[in-house]
Amino acid sequence: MTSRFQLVICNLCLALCVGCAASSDAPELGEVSGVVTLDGQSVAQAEVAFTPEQGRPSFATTDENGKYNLRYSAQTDGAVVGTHSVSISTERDQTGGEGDQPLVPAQEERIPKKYNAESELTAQVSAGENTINFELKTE
Amino acid sequence: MSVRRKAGFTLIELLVVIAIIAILVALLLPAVQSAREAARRTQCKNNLKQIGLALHNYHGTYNCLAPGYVDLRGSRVPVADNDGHWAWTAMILPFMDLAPVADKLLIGPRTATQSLQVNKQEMTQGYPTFRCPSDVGPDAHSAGTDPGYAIENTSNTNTGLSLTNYVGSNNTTSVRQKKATNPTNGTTGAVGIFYRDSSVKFRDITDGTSNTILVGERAWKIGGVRMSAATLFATRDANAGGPSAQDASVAWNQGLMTIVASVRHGINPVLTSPNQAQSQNYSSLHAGGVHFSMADGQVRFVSENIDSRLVSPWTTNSVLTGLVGIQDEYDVGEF
Repeated sequence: MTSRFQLVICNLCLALCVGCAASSDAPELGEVSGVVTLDGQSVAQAEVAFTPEQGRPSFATTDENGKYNLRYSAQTDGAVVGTHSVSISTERDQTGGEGDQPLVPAQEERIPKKYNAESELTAQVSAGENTINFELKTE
Repeated sequence: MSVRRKAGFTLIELLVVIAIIAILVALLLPAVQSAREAARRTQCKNNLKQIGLALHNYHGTYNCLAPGYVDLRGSRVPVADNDGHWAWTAMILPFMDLAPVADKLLIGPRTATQSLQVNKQEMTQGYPTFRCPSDVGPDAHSAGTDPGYAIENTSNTNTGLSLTNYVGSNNTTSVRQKKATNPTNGTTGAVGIFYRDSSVKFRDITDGTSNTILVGERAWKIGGVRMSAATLFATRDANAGGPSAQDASVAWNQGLMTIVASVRHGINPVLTSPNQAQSQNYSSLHAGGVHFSMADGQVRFVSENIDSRLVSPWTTNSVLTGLVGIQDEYDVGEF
């Protein structure tokens, strides 16, 4: 009787341990949002990429008002806390066009190279909420 | 007069017992759920182990790893838009205990398009060894939902191929048909193991086979958005120019990305809608990362928080990109 009771208790503890074993290596994140403008005009459908000095980059696409909200991974918002190099680009390849899918044509680059391919933009992300607006200029 | 107590439990005793049992069950349920997910993860690891072993056995037989896909152009059969090119998964079938399927499909003597005409059943059914048990996708792609994950048979009927969650390693930047001319830069071509007519030998993997990704997983849906997983057997041609890729006709709803993967947007990428460039990456429904079969045969769980930076000028400069390249000489250290 005692041995069976002990067995039950042991199984229970084991099951509880399995349940609590999940740990996370997620770094500290800060929520980042803002508006992208080019010569005062808001930029829609631009891809904003924040690349940290170490770790995983965060991406976002601007809406029709040029507003973006950075996402870290499929389930998480934000970006790694620290200094980021930022790239903003409107270049996009075409999608769709097969079967019933509508063809979404490719998009050309409307933003100067110094903000994407040879980006000089940097941003500082701190813990908590961050509002980072980008006022880009074509010159 | 003595009051004889009846044998049995009082109501209070019964309620206490029921309450204790209820608390125990409530404590146990989450544990049971995570134990079930742990079992599914183990099953997924086993599938990747089998695929890794099959590729090793393929190497043992043919002295090189399976080609990413076999280019149909230049063969005796003229290639038309939406035809199928045989993929690496078709090549390893005999080493996956699926020799009967491989024999029926006549991979090589027949094109994928010709085989689909006569073997629709085999090319559209579910194959559990090629599916992650945590994944929620259907057995086969639907030509209506994802026409790019389908190929045409000889009577030009578009048919969705069997679904798989396992994709070969192609590139650090967007997927490319041709081999890289500079093994440290993914914009010069594919720096990974699988590409057009590839025949990578283990001796070509100079970064070390334990530091190089062979095969990884991709989910049907993550974060509520369809990522479409991958296709078994074949990949769809785009306008007789080979499967769509960054160095051929670029259409993100089809082609090379349906059989191989990139790490351009990191593990478990941010998806906003289906059939975008983000769908070419690795993903899974296992919490926090994906399983990879490394080139030495081990299966590793890699966290989505791994260093995965990749910026212009696109040279290999982070741990994850270093794991993809076979000759990039990037020191990945512990990961």
